[in-house]
Amino acid sequence: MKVSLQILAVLGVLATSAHAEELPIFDAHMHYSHDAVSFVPPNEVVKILRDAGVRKALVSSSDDRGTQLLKAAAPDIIVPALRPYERRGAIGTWMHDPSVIDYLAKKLAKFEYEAIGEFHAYGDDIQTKVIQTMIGMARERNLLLHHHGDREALDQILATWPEARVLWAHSGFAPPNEVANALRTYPRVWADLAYRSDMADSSGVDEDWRKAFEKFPDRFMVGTDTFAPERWHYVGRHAEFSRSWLAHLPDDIARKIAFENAEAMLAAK
Amino acid sequence: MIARTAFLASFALSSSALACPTPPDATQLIPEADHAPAAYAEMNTPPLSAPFAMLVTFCDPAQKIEALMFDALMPAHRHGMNFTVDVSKIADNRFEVSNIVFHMPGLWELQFGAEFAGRAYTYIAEVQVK
Amino acid sequence: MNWVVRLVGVLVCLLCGLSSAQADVILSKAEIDQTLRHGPWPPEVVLDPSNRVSGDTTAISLGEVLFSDLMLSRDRTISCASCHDPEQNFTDGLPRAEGRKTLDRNTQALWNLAVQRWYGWSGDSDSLWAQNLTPLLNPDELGHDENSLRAALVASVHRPAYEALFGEMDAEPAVETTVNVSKVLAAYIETLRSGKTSFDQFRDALASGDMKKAAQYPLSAQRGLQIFVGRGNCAFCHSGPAFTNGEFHHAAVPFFLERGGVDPGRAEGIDRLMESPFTLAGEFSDDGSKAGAWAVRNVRFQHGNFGAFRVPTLRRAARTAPYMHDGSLRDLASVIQHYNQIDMERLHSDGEAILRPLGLSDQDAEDLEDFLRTLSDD
Repeated sequence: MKVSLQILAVLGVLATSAHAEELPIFDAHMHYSHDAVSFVPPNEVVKILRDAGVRKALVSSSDDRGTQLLKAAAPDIIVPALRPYERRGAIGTWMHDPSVIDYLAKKLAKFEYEAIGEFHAYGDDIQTKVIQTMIGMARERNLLLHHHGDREALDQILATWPEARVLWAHSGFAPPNEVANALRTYPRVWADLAYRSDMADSSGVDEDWRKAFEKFPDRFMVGTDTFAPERWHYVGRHAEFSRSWLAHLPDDIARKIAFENAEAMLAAK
Repeated sequence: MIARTAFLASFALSSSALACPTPPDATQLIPEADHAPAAYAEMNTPPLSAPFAMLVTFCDPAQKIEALMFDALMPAHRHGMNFTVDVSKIADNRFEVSNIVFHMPGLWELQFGAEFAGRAYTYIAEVQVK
Repeated sequence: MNWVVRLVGVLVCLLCGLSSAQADVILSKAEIDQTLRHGPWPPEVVLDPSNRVSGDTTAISLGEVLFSDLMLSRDRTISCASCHDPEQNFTDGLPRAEGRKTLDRNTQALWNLAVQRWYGWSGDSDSLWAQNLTPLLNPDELGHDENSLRAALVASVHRPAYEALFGEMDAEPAVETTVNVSKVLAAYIETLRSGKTSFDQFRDALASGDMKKAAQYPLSAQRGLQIFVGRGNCAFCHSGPAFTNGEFHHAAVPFFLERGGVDPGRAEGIDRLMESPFTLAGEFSDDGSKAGAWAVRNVRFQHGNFGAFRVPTLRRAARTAPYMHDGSLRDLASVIQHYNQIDMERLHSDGEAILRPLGLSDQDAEDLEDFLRTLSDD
């Protein structure tokens, strides 16, 4: 029965409160990369976002052109982030590519961004010259860092720049107690739940996750992760999924995770 | 099904005595915290992409574990299982985890969460699936 | 003395022969162990407990006739065999199926389908008989509804055979008739089993320690097998005797549809499972113990299901081009090159982390193809 409930949750059947139906979403993990631009044009993306009730979206793209196109098409929705590499295939190598620094400098000089990321880095990757320089560039501009990686890398980012605001992508794919530990350790770390579904279970919300949400109601947010072009067609479904499991939390926590936490994170400069 | 029934029956025969220390063929669960009670899992060789069950035993009779959570993932592939499992308490400090499916060969990391008097203990173990 | 010399001579020759044969089996001990896990073949015949006519000879005969009967389509223009052509290994050789219109997916062959966990590219069904309902009732395929199918059967020459299996039709609800027809078709389809191939001969020889016989397996196929179980990472998903783990994966294949939108793959398959009254957990299963129902009850929703498709068997695959869920790869060489140069941009960094460009040489690719062909030469 529990899985049936999971699926019903996905389909929105369990989103029983009228409040949940209307819950605005801040999608904190989106990409609009070069191939997505050719398959799903900006006006279609904007329609997808509006239809899904996504009021704001933190968007980073490989390359950055997609972000700029979307920003121009929907400045009220798009919160731009600068990804440090121009092709997704570079996620494991970009930190060894010195041209990344010039790329970042050029983009930061030309456009406005709220964040650098989403960038992939594990463990000692953070000590590479490219990432250390990138963190320095973010520090100069007080930009959020959207980091995809493990706790060790997260620790090293905060050791490099203790006041950094970091959005921990997918919350490191760590279990809820470990995510909670990171949030306890670092008051300026926030946790995105993109590409995860383990929060939803037979009772609506997994008990361990519920404890984490109740302990840190101001620190979590949702995200679709449109890593491939087709996944733009998943945005509506993901928004419904989010509303469904959030409907099983107290209204104020649900509102925070759905939207308010991301806004507060961006404002916490 | 018959094999599983026989497995459980053999377990039931031995369950009158506290099954600690760890039986030689059991998999020791590694606790995250030093003060967590010793625990082990008993299972037949996990089949590939087919459901199987394991028995999990906690060894401290002073701490009655109230609930057990189980999950597993493949660190090298960075994905987990395609199914949820069923957990049932079959005796004090003993649980059966059933309908575990490891759908790919390789190293699986098993993750256990045990609840006792409002406290949570976590354990891990590893199994190689062929 | 002569006797001793002759014996020594015979032993020397035997050892020479053994040594020569062993030299022609180039697999390491570990590779042999991995190879043994792809057998034995064929597997033991298992009847479907959820289908009370599974294994029934009358049902099998009726199913075979119905399979090619135009009566199974509402407008009597096509049958199961129109797409699953017995002369073409129960597929059609087309990229995407042609029903009443061009469908979104490739027609899968029907070999070795008895008692799988999931059926179809997206696993919409957990039994073969339930899967048969999809083409029967899909307006773009055979196009029946329950009532039209029942009426067609009542008026057909098959009614006596059907009633011999299921009893009088007069009072039977149309949904029962529809499910029974699907079970009769399943009884036939589950008899379609591929035979022993040269790979199986090789594998059996290794299992029995007959290295001389094993050495008859071509060297190029052995090299291909080494890639398959080794650096190709193929055996992670194409595992076991049927060369599939029966589950769902992303293989970096685009899933946009020509008509617009996307094919949600497994995500939609799970939706359909959850909505279906025809699963192994439901009342139409003939298995009172509901033994197979655990899968539909415990299947896990994951965002990665979106655009994931079921891993197909590789047995007889060489005869059933084109490949992938949308038939977008025309031959085995194209499939090998797809994985050899896999587009990492299409994969999430967490989920299918073993997929990487393989760096196969032309010779490697030919060897891998030679190996794959030995899964289809029965």
